[in-house]
Amino acid sequence: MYRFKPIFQYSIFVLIGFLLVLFVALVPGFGNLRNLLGMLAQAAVTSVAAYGLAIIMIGGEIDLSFAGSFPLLAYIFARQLSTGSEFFIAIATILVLGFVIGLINAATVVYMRVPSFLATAVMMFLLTGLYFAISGGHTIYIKGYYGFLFGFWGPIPKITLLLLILTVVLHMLTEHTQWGVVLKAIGENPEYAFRIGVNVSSVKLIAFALGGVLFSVAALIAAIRLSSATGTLGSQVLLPVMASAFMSTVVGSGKPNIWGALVASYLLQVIACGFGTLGLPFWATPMAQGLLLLFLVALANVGEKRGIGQVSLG
Amino acid sequence: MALVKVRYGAILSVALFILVFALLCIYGRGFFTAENLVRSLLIPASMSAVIACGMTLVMIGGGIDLSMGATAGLGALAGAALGTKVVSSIAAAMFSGMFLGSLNGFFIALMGINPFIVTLTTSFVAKGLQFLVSLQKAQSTALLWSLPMDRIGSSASFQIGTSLFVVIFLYVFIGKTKYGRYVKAIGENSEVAIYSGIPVRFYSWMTYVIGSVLAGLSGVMLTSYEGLVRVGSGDNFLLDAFLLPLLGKAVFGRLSIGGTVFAALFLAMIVNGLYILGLPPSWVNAMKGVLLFGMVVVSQVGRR
Repeated sequence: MYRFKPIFQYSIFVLIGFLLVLFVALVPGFGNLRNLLGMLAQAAVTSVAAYGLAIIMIGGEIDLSFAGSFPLLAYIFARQLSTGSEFFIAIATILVLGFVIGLINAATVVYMRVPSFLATAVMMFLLTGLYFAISGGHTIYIKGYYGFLFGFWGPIPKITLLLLILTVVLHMLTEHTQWGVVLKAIGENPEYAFRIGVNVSSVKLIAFALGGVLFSVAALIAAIRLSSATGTLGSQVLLPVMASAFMSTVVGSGKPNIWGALVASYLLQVIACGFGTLGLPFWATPMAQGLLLLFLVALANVGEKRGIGQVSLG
Repeated sequence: MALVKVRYGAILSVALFILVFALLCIYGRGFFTAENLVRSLLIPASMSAVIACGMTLVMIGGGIDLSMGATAGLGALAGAALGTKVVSSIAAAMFSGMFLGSLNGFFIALMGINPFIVTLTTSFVAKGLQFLVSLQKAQSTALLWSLPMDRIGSSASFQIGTSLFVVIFLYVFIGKTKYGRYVKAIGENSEVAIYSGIPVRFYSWMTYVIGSVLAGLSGVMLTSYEGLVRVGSGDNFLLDAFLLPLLGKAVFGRLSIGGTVFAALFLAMIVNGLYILGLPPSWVNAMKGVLLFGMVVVSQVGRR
């Protein structure tokens, strides 16, 4: 079976190709470039947040706080715009806040040694609570910024291009810089990394801070895309983002990676978009997403050493 | 190696619990009344304790189940849609939980796939099934419970009794039977467990089945108390299920039913206390988060 492993490993691309062909055949207009790139634009929120999570996962930790920072940051962004702040000042505020949240996560996980699952899940609680406290659950609508990200440069949506640039940059950062390699080493074995003189704490600190910034960027995109900031944003993104980040391990090397996260979130978007335009019942989309992902994971696992699946919760 | 490890975190946390309870008794008007303690403290605690104890079992076996929130919702919807009597509702909920649990267990224990990935994807499936059940039954995303179930759901003895039964059952199962020891062994070191002749795959599978059955049950408990089941009713339970065992572990040093129940009581007490002290409702969640954060940090005192 090992001989065929590479084939199964890349089955996600086969599946995406198959689905695209299927939908192009069934849905008129599905196959034009505008729609294919548009789906990438719609996947931007999930992808960017999944990048943040993937980077933290490369370092062997996890960060669930994004489900709390999403509604909070989107709300602060929307409120700043509605009270007449400068657009770029609002963006800068959000990025700084995301950075600070990342630093707090890092402080509890790295320096106080709270297991990252627990620390960041509690952080998610705290941030969601803060959101309800300062907003009272009200939705704020923002107008006039949709074109800023989702407008077109020629045939290409701006956000698609920006997303691809970000993907390349983060890919280079995690795969081809010293910091990225060290981060991987920490994820593999923090004890050894420490023994050979790596400053584990500071590398992880940067990973959490970078993750926090990426979450805030994703929250920003979500707010602009929905033209509003609502409280359900967090619970809406929690599962897709985690699924994309974890599915990235199925693509390629078996470790979390940036490209894998992009491919996985694109797959989720293709299924949602295709099933939506086919006019299938409402329940079919999540069901198809779940079953296809499960199928993919099972395929990618062909020829693996078969223990039982276990996780370590720190 | 130190033979006796003093867990300052555990002592501090228990002291904190008693301190908060005492302060609430003194300053919270109407806190120390039977009505309040049962309705606003024990009932919410027992709902989340059931699902969290299921998760504790899964975690002790070295796994995790992120589909529990969706499973709870599915169980509640299946119970409301299929059952007209109390017994048939609860049975439908537990069977739908069993179905999802055995699906999870199949992929995790028999095929050896990472539990995170499997349970994330099955939570999508469960979400789809929720819509399916609800739309088939009533053309809407919310169902009403049948009258007998509604009546029994709002009784305190049903809620607390079920929860007590589950807690005692799991406590005995994990702590006092050899099967519980098997599960612990698998969680500690699955390789060694295999060489000790433990049927690792079966017991690992079983933890997911029991966990999901309990998730379905807790979905019934929550929604029958409210009288209405919506699609996504159980989603908020995922956090409880995930957080409480880990809180218990942070406090007592290892995963245990006792620790989980302690965490459930503590959380319910904090929420109840904040309401009674007159905090605006929108601030309660934020304060809860801050207190949890403090508790997690405090519980790490003296570790390493």
